Amino acid sequence: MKNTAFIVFGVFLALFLSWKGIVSCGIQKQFLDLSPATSSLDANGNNLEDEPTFPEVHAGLYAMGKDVYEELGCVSCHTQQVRSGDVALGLGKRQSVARDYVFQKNMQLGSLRIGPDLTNLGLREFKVEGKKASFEDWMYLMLRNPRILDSQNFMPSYSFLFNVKMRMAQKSSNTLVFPENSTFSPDEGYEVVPSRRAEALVYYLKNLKQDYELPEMKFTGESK
Amino acid sequence: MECDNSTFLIDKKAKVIDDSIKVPALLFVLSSAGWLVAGTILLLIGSIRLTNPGFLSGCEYFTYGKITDAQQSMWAYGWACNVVFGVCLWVIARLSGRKIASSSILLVAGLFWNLAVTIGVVGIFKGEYTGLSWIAFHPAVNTLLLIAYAMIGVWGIVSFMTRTNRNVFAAQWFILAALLVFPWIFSTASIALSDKMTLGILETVIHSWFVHNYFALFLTPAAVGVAYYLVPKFTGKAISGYSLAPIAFWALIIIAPWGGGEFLLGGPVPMWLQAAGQVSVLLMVIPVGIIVYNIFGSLFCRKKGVCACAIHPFSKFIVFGMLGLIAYTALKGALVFPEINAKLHFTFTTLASEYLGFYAFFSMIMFGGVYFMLPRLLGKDWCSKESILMQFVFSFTGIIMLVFFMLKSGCIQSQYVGQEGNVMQALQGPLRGQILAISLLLISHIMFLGHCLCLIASALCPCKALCHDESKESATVNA
Repeated sequence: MKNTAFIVFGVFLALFLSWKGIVSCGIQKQFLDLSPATSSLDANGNNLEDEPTFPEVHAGLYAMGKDVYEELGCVSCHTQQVRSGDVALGLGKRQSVARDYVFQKNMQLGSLRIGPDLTNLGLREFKVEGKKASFEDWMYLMLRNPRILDSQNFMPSYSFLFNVKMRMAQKSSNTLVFPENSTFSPDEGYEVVPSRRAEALVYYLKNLKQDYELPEMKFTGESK
Repeated sequence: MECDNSTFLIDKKAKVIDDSIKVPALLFVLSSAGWLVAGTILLLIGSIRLTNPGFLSGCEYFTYGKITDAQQSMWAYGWACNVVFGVCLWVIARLSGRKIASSSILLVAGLFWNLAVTIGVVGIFKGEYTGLSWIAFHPAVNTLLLIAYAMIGVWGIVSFMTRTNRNVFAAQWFILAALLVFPWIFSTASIALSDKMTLGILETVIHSWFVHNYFALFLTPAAVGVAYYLVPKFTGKAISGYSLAPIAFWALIIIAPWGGGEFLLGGPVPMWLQAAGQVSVLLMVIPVGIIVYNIFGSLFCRKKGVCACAIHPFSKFIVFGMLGLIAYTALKGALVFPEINAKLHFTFTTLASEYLGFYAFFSMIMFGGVYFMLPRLLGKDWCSKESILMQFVFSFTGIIMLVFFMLKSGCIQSQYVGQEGNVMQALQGPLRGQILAISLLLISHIMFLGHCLCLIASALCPCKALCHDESKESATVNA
């Protein structure tokens, strides 16, 4: 153990082998051809013609919304992965697999569930005051201040994503609809409207869903 | 307290080495303590946010995600790296019997390093970050850090290569390994992650590979190296069972790099990767077992009938650090079993194991290292050993409470798997406990910063310049 070169070489070799083994010869090689696929394949293992391939390619508003999601650090509390055991708990219809994330840069997989898993957020049903509400109506209120919907909710509010402005004769098309007599409603004559970033974020969140089958992973359960 | 220099001036050669690294080491220690305090303040804010979501929530710069990422980065690159640079470079220079050739380059590089960390943290608050835990800085900042590192880490390697002492000690291998591993994993991971073609699962795997190696091959060998250096100083005897130390070293180097999969158990990654991670984590028992046997075997020497750890005031940092290492390895090992993992993977339990490794093990040993090093650098002893004991008690109580409440939170969370929307209500009790624990840590860290500042101030104070000048004189005479 007196030879410097021996120690230096040993350390480098150990790290190099693990990088080779895990990353370049392992994952990179195994997933070299990973690309969107149709839900089932033909006899030769090719995608079926005339059928949609999954995961879908999103662009524009979705990418902008993902940026907002990253910037705000939502990943600190929310995961975006359904493990095999999670299917029985109703987090999704099937387990998440590598192909689901094939297009994603800066994956927001997450490692802590202080809040719920968001893999299939876009598939959930929402209620405001016991009545069925659209995804956007519910999510805007949730982001504006979660206590509007549930006084016991511990998610932080993201009120800076919204603008409060004077109400014109005609209501803005995207104005937030507060529950009646809510203490969080804006003052008389004002309305709360989402900023462009909030719209992008909600569009992104609405498109979080793994509601398709892949050749390697079929539905094994029902999502709640 | 009287100026007692006699203990620190026995070895003239050591004094020359100490003087060569003194100014940069002081910079590293002070900035590490500063980042530690700043990070703990953010940790406290973050934990308050979990029980009181309205706190600071109207401001975009302080979202919970940004606070946690900034805190983690401050601890990882501000506290951990700085303190490793300060203490480990000194240890390796001392053991190699070689002074640092250019302390001014080291000093400038240290300033650059801290500047880069500052830029990175500001970037996080402005939203310019990767969102990947432990490597959250913007890729441009990572480049700056690497350039600064090249001018810092090189001095450790150079003094080892040009060593004048014929003997090579275990502390040197471990520290050398840590200094070599950091640029390797950090450059590889940050280049690979910023590549546009790194998409999907590949990115996650590289990230987990980095995080695992940052803990297992940077923090662990650095702290173990410092422990192997300090223990013989405390006991006045060689490490017991020393012939096993090379096995511990090579076992660590060979086993540890294959981990990473344990962070992704059950996730959308291949089974072989998960299995490799599980095996690697469980096999860590071998190096950790030998290290603990070496350190505890030397500290608890039964021959005299007196526990050697009671003799030196700072050896409790090492003892607690080693207990932290045992607990870290045990909890991490327990979490790779599929039945346990399915329940506890995405809960605070995972965080508890990180805190055991980062704080109870690594940081505790580094506190001991700084307390041992500074008096020798400055030629002046600590004014109040009682105050240091107080800091130990605060850290000790704080981290035990924090881990306890995190484990408790994890157990509650495990009953709510699949319905995480309702869990926060049930978690409020343990989360308040975490706030209390983090407040204790904050007090401890402010005390730590205060101790360092006090010692430096008293060593530089002109009224006590006599001791200072004497030591300088003797150094120049023997240069």
